[in-house]
Amino acid sequence: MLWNRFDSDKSRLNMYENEHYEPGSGISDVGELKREILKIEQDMRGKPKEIIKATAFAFVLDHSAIEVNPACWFGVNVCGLRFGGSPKGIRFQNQNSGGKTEKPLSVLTGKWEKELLAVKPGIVADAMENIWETGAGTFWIDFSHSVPDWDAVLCHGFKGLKDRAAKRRSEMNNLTDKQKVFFESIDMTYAALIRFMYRLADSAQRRIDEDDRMILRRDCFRALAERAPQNIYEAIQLIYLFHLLQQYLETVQARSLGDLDRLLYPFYLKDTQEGTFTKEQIKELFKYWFIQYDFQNHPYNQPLAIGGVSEDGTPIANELSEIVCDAYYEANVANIKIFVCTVKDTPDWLLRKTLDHVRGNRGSYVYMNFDMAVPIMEHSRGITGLKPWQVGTWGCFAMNIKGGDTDCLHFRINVAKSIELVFNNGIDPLTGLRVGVETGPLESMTCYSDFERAFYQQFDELLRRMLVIGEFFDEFAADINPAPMDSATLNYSLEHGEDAFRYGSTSIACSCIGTAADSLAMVRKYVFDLKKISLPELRDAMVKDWKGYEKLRLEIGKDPEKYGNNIDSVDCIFRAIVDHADQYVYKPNKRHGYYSIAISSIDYHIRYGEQTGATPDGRWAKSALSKNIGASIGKDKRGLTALMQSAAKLNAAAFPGSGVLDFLLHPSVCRGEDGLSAMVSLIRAYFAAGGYSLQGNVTDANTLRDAQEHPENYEGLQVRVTGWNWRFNDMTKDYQDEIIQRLEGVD
Amino acid sequence: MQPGAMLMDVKRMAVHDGPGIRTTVFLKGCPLHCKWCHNPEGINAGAQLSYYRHKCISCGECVKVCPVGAHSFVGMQHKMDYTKCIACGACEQVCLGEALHLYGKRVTPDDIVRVVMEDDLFYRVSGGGVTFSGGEPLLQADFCADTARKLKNHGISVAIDTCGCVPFEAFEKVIPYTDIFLYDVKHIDAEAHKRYTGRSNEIILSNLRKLSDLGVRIEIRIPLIPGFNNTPDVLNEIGSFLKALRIEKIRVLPYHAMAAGKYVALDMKYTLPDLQPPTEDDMSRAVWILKEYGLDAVAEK
Repeated sequence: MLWNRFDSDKSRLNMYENEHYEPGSGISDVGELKREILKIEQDMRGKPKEIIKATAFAFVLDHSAIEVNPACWFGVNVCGLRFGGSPKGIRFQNQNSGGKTEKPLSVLTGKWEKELLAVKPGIVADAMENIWETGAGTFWIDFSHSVPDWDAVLCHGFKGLKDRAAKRRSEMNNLTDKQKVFFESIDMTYAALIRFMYRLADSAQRRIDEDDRMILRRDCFRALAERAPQNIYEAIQLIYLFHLLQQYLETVQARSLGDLDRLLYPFYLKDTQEGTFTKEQIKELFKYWFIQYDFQNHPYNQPLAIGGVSEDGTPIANELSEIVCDAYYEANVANIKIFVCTVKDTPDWLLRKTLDHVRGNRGSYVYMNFDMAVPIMEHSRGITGLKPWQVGTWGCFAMNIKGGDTDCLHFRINVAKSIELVFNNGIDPLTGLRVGVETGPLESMTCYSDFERAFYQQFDELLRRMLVIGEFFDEFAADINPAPMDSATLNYSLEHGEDAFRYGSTSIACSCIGTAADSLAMVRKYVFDLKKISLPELRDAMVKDWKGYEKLRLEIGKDPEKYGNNIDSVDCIFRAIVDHADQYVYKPNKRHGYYSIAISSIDYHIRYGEQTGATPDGRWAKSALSKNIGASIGKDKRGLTALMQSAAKLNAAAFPGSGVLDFLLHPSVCRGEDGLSAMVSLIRAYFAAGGYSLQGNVTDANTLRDAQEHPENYEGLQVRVTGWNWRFNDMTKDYQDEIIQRLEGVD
Repeated sequence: MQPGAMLMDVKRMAVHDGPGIRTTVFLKGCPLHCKWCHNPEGINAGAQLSYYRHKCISCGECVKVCPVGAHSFVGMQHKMDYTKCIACGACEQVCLGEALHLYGKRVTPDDIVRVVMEDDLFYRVSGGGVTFSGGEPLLQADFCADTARKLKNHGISVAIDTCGCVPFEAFEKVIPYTDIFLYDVKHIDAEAHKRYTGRSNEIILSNLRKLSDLGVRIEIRIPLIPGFNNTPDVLNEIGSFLKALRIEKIRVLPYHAMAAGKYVALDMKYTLPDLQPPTEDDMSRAVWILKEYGLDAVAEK
């Protein structure tokens, strides 16, 4: 029996928690693999890095211990890759992220990165100085925002991609040595991938008696060694293997699994029409597929997309979109994130289905405004004539041109730090280290314009430093971590005979802008308009973390003139900061692309918060800063519609790299068909106003418990009870408890 | 007589007060005194100061600005003398813990239009608009009519959430500008109604019949109160009465006791301290009974 087995197989699907391989299948110790790789590097010293890496890549695929899980349609285990799941989580390979890596090839890329950084020019060393230590920002050489051209992957398969690259090589005249090396590395890499498919097929063959599905698995691996996929099972097996081998062996994160309901729809139609698979069987395959990503425990979720528009401009929302959502829901995985690419004509049913999952607290969906896709991309990439279907989703919350960009997000800036630096003339007060420029004594700032100018001087200094670092990283990224597997899928890479990392945009993430905007607004109001305090006194208050200034802190804290309340005077400060950053960095980078801005925090609003003293918006030292394009915590007191209108005032084209608005709704607001309709309308309205992207949360009991503990963080939270919205904070504790109990019942 | 109306509160992004996403404008004053009232701050027509003890940080700012000495401190403990309070709102402005809140501010129709128009986009996308509620909004029918007319000029949909206990002339003033009435029906028996709300229901039922005869859109709301209307007999009577009318939908709303905190904050006596909310079975049964009369009834939570 092949089907209707997901529930009974479920407990056997994560075979990788306890590393286990087929006996005698190869090297089963990651340390040994790494030692062998270092030996290869030593033996090949002087050879091009592309060739060394391709050799090491092939060595792992040829010699590592493997196992094909008979309980699963997709699960395979390969020593060192940890794909199939490290319960500890797999972090980026760079040493600065603090994560631990199991990836064997990281011994090469890590070594080469260290070698490069050891000989960095003085100007780069100066630019890097004190950035991390002061919490002014972070930087790393980023290989985590690439997406292969999934159309090419599915169209050609491993063998087709190898042949295509060889054909391109033969067509090019007067190849340079670099180009010869590039094509050679692709040939070696893809030859190894094809051999690896046969190894997996042989492994499945050896266990053929254990499960009927092993016959199909064996045939699938063999097919993927020899040709492009011909049915939906082969297609998603290929996506799965390609993603994992690129991510954990090539060490280039593939930050989207593609827009599945477009990419796979031809397979779906063919399979269901020819009777290869039924709809139910396809859904079951997706459940096995999704759960494998859950076992990876990737720290930032694995994104994929549905929706968007087809080449003829019609919205995509089909039976496969529905199957993907249903399988995602039924597999109940936490580590997949689905982008819902939304246009004006996207049918309501797709939004309702996904939002129904959101309000049930099962599923992570990000809604992207694809009506804005073309203007955002054209502005940031300096091109014209782009079509909406050419744009795809990328990374955590971004858009990019499908098969047309290898983005690097090398750095992140804590914008709120610039406020602190003005008050301390460029010195970070918590560490005493200089990270900013001298903007002069506070006594010399006699009007708000003086203060604002100083803020932008500090901000510019951080942007300037990042661009210096960025030029250096961009120039050498492809030398540190050449990516033949990824490059072979990308037309622009093949066309020039150069690595994918020599082409693409470079993003600078700006974090905690809400706190900076609120601080500027409060300085303007309380120092210069109301004259309630002087700048030196305000610095004293910040140094003392408001001790002795508690009444002023409370007065500033309750002042509604904060970003997120649809108040132009402060919303325009936020917008001005973003526009300024966009204009400052809008220039060609060293990789034939442009610099651009992302507004994102991930969890840096907490990390940077711990490194940032008190701020003029009434925030305590070391507490969290504002998140993404959201308001400072608890300051969006006028509700979600006001917050959305504040965020929609921003020019989305200025931050293509990310700009998600997190919204929080209570389950009572979302209940019933009316609630679902309201959720759809919120998305439609935000996007009609020009908003970029949205991610929703429906509050649960735990959140309300936190709201009880920290009411100041939940000023905007309303609870709907029998015909009225209630401010949660206005209720007495016993009735708050009652609602929490109700929620627990719902959970 | 001061111009404008006495506003209790404005709530944005109301999802269950009529179609779509709405802003609900709560006006003060109510002819009924329902024992279970969820909005006690709406009963009195005048301004009222509330004091939420759990939010007070004992900053003492209220004492400094109060013109009548209604606030005082015994040690760090704030004391509030409601009998002295003239509801001027001076203390609310300076309260650093946001523990003091004045329910009842004079507003003009233009004030309301300015506030509610901020969410115009959300109304248009969702098919929503503005809902007048309370208290009983039609006690200030001229204000409602003026404001609703201005809103209609802006293309905004208007709903009136009413207990119905007002002269029909009040309805006549707003009907030209109202898209839907959200109409409370609590009981069919006049005596029982009077015992629990302080007023007979004759005018309420009469007004409802008239509205129905005029063909305006009506959605009925039935608060399900154990011990008052949560029996098959009462619900059958309600169903029997409503089936003869032109009603779009009936929403059964469960009684809850969460307003108790507001009673304390307003120094008002809560009249149903021990009453338990209806069970889910009670709610389902009520809906089932009403559906037996061919009514489109749903249970709310």
